[in-house]
Amino acid sequence: MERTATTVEITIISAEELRHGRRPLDKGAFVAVRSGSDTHSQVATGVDRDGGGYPCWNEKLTMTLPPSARSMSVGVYCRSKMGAGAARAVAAAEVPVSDFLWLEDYLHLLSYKLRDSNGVGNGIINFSVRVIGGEGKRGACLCV
Amino acid sequence: MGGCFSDVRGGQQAVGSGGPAAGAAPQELNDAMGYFLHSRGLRGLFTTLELSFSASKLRNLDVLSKSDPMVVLYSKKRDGILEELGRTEVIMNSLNPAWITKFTINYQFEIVQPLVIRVYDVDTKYHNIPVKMLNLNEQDYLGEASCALSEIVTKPSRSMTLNLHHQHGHSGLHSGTITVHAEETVASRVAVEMILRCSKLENKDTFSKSDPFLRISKIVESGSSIPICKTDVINDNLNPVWKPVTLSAQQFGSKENPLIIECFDFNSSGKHDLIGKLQTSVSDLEKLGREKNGANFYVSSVSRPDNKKMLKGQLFVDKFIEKTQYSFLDYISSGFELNFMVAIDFTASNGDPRLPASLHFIDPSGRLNSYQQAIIGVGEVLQFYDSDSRFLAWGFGGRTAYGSVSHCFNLNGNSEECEVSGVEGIMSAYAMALHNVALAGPTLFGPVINKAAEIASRSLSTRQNKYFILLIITDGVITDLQETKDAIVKASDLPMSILIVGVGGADYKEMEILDADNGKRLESSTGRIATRDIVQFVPMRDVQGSQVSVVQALLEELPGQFLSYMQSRDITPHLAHPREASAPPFLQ
Repeated sequence: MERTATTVEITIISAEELRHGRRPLDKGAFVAVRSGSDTHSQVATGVDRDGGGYPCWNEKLTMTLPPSARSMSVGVYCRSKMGAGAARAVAAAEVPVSDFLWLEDYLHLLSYKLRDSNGVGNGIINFSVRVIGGEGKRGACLCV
Repeated sequence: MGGCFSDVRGGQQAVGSGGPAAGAAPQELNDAMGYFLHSRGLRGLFTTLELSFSASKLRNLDVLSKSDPMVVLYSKKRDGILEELGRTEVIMNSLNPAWITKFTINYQFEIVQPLVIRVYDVDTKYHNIPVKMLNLNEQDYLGEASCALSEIVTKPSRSMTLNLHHQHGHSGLHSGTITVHAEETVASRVAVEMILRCSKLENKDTFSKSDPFLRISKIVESGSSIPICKTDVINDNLNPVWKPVTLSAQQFGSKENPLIIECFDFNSSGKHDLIGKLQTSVSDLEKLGREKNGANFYVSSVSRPDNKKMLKGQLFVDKFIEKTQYSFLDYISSGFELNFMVAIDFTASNGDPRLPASLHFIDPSGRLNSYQQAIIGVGEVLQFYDSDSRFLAWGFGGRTAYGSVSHCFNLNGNSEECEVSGVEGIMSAYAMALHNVALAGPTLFGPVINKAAEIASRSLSTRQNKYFILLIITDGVITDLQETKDAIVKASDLPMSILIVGVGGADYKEMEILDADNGKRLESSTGRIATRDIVQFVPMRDVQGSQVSVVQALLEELPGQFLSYMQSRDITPHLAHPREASAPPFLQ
């Protein structure tokens, strides 16, 4: 599909049933999103201090997807010691951009299963994506 | 946008609607709870409407003065019998009366509610008799009109003007018109959304931690409490944060109305253990949220109920927002439409349509087969919500005139256009297809759902005022379960619901999986998960007796699914005169 770089507005809503081993995840979870494997594009939410295994962020992130991007990586991390310690990867989901790029200026509500580095399922992530109308592509029609 | 995904039925699913509620709640409280849980912050199955009437250019039957008209309202039962719902007052000497008496009627989305309105001229000599005592046979009949309640509520102003005519013909006789206006009896559209959290809850389970959920009840004047809301269950956690809960002003009454919040440890047996409770109100909760304080739970002693033992466990309000909650009818009367699409199973397992044993057999005597019953049952309800009644109709699993088996072909035989006109259009296209299409197989839902999803998504680039309903009628077990799941998961992001009717005696276990009523969200092969429940499945086994209830069961979740889509995207109805645009006095 021919396209230019696309700006997307991602609202990380919440995650469910996150576990650390057999126990619910400790407090201090946050979410980082990046385009494919490009770590420079990474944007992250703040740390959730209350939720444990059911963190809630409702935080808006903006990022640019290059035309070559096939997927977006949404990863949950956990900062120990109430957010002051080192960040540890908990689980992630690869989100195909085709799931939301097909329609601009529409609030896509999306949920994905999260998997840890061994591919084992660990919870669900809920977020929304709004593709901001790109230049030259159907004009910037903000139908509010 | 309003926080986490608020699945309308989420709470009910999570807590397992089957088992009795904790404590020995009397039956009527359970019923009330079932009702409230079903709606969970949304206005549910029943919406109370107030009907009012006015007329113009009535016939004048009195010699020396004008007619003295009165309206009698009837509902027409399925067997054609009229049931009187009530009478207005008599207005003296008027041919253009506006009656004051209003009729309260429950609007039900899932059934057609035909009304008959009769106007009588009440003779002067009866004016001292209460209207209820009047013998209508002694009064002069001015005319009548009939309509369906759904016709009124889909009109922009919720008003509909009908020509009065005479019961037994006499057409052409000028009898004037009657206007019916329907008003939703809603005190307020205000609702509060809260994120509730607890800390340091007591552990009730032996081998793991408690599985807490909250139940919020309203204390009514008699002193008893009525449950109005229940959260989801969070497993194995003594510091739970629940999904946002929404309480409407209808549920909590006023902000000062006392509420009881109970925290239970979920047990699959249905006998949930009480961890603690506390008394509060919406304004107290707002204060807790603002000041970021916790409120302690307590337990009452069994022997001395007024002796409270305070607990360490606390309730916190992490978010408190007031918002406007629109009803299904607010959307419908402001130009939102339900677009009906139907897909019919043409697989060989239905049996040769020429033989009476076939599920597709069209009985020359006129008795409808299961497919026809499902089309008519759903179509006659939905037709009122689609302004042009142009429906889309497909077949699947059949061999068309083009030679190959198609899993989504146009029912009308047209290669370009699948649109048909009205319920009759579907019926004749179906009868025609039975002649032109050879039954084949296998049973695949994926192509039909994807086609419907494509149409629903195309509508989004223009105006977001359409919601699509795909009715799939099938006799068998699907062979593309994963593909169907993938299609449904994708469609959950679209303004679309899927109704599945199973006809015949097949085993429909897989359909139950698609209908996520058990609380498990559907997962696609790529790990994407449905954001809401959009599938409703009903088997139509006993087609003779219970046809009506089958269709009702199928349609009853639709208004909730429609609202969950609109609310999660902050799509608001375009109301011409927004009632209570600002908060009512008690919230200011």
